[in-house]
Amino acid sequence: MKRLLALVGVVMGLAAPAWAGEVSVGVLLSDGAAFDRQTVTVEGELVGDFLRRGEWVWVQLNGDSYADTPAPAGGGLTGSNAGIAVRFGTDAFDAAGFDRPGGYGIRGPIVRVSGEWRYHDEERGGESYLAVDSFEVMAREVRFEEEMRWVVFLAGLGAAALGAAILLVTRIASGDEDAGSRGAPS
Amino acid sequence: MLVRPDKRDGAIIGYFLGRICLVVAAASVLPVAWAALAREWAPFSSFTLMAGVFFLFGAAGTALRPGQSRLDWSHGMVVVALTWLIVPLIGSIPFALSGHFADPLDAMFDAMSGLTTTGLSVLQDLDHVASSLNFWRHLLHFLGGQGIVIAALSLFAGGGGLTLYYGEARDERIFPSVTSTARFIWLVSLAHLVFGVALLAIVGVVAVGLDPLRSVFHGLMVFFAGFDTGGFAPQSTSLGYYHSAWYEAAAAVLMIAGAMSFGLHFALWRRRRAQAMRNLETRTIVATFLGTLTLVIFGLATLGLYTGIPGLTRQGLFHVLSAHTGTGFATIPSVEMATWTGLAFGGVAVAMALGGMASSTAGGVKSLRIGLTLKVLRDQVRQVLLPERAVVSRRYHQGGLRTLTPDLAQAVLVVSLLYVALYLFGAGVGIAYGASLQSALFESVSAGANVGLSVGITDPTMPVLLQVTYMTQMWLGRLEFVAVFALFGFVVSLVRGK
Repeated sequence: MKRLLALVGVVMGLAAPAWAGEVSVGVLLSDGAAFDRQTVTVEGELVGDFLRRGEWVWVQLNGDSYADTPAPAGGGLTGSNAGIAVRFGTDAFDAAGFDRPGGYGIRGPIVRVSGEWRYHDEERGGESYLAVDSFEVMAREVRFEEEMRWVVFLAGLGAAALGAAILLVTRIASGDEDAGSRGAPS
Repeated sequence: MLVRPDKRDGAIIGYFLGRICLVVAAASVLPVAWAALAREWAPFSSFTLMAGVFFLFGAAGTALRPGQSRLDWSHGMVVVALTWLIVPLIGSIPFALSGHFADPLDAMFDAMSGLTTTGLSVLQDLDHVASSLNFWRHLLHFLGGQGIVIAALSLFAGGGGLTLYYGEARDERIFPSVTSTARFIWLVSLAHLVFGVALLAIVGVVAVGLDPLRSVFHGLMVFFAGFDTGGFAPQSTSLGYYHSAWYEAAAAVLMIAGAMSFGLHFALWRRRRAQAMRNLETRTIVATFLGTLTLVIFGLATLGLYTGIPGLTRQGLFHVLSAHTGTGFATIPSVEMATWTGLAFGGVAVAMALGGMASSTAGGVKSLRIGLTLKVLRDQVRQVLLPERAVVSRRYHQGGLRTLTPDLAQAVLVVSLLYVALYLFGAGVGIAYGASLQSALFESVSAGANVGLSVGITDPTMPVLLQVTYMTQMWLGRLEFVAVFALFGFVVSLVRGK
């Protein structure tokens, strides 16, 4: 029996993708080929849109520092975003009850996803993405607000008012000149 | 002897700059309204400031009212060169105040990149950017691609139209009047706007899975960046965000339309397809596109980056199209683009350097110049091979039969060589900062040809001098040198003239 179980284990091990462990989005972006067809675990923020296509939902998962605190919410600037595509099964995705992905005013849900990393998948015309098998919601969406900047706003209004005054004065002055030239003897 | 410009020259230049600033101030109302509707109050205040400053500059400029308001050639060139500095400078205000840029120079870099339809960006945390700010980034593409001066000419006729038109690197008049030509360009653009946004929105809903409202938003942004061959995208993963060959195909239609000259649009509009296909420029761009595509696909196959025909053709085709039209959309990250070496690198770099058609929204040397350069070379060879008394035809088709005069040939060769020098100069600065020859050349060509594809050198941490170099390349490349040289000449005359 033990031999049979061991054999099943070996067969399953051969059939299933190798497990590469937890990797960062940055590593997948810079060395994606090294993890091709391997099972990886990645943590990050779901941003942009939930692209619903029948049995799959496609989302961008960002693994950068802005997943903790977005720049407009006071997070420090640490460079460009680092994102990969992840593909969820629609049923499992809907069961998680996500509200909205990350964007302006929202730090999106933080998830820890495991699945097969498909690098330059020929079935999808060479796209690279993570086909999610399982995932865990680490944190829900967080909303943040940017306040109106009154000083900036009033400075803008002031500039516009000054511009309008200049235009008005110019128009009056040119009207006087025109009237003067009309009255002048030819 | 250099003649020092006097107050009257300053007044004429200031007056026309003012009028253009008033037009841009009117366009600035759009992001203000967008921010208000989206209840994005921090960007709303920044856009109000920007619109106010544009209006103030416009009013102050027009207040100069020179007695004789007709522009001569040099004034027009200086106005255009300064316009393309002042608009990104003031237009970068919302960027600088957004908290997405490390310093004002970074903000100016993106504004210059947007206006010149380049698409290189140092914006940080794009995926959390306000929708109104995203709109302004892409609207800059539209203003720059269609030509701010074209916009101004459409709204006000009057003295100086022709010199302003040529100053903005457009050398094709579709109608006898420049104002009518400018209005035709805007008509074509608005027709494409309606068609393009509708197409992308439908594909976005049906094939991509976007919500209808978001699909319209994405469609509008991708239209601005695609039709104006800009290259900004609403999300950090560019067009790779959509994971859809259909969406890429829809964007490709707009990229091709954007890279076509407005003369060709006019010919197709009038159903003169045969004439359009006989044009030297059309034939040249088809040939160079097929040539660079072959190089890239062969190169990618050699590298083994894609193992099947679908991956090779889709990725190769899209990126060559993006490079040749000067758009700069990508479906792969820049770190991956850096692994395209050998023939694949050569194909993309050459496609970027050559660019689209003259008088289009694309950058680069332009196909007409490439075609004429090849014709000059071919004629020279034929002249040598044929008997001494033989006459070699100097005629070519371009919207009718034209003659390739020695002056035209010289101008074409000079501008083409200037582009080569521009690419090499930027590459030299990149190499000086430690980039490899391949990476430095790729990024420099991308900046100088206003493309926007990147192998990762353009980054928020890039050295200031390299950043300024790329900005200068964008400016020079977009205006095709003449207006910028005229500005330098004006400044030298101001300092050393008598």
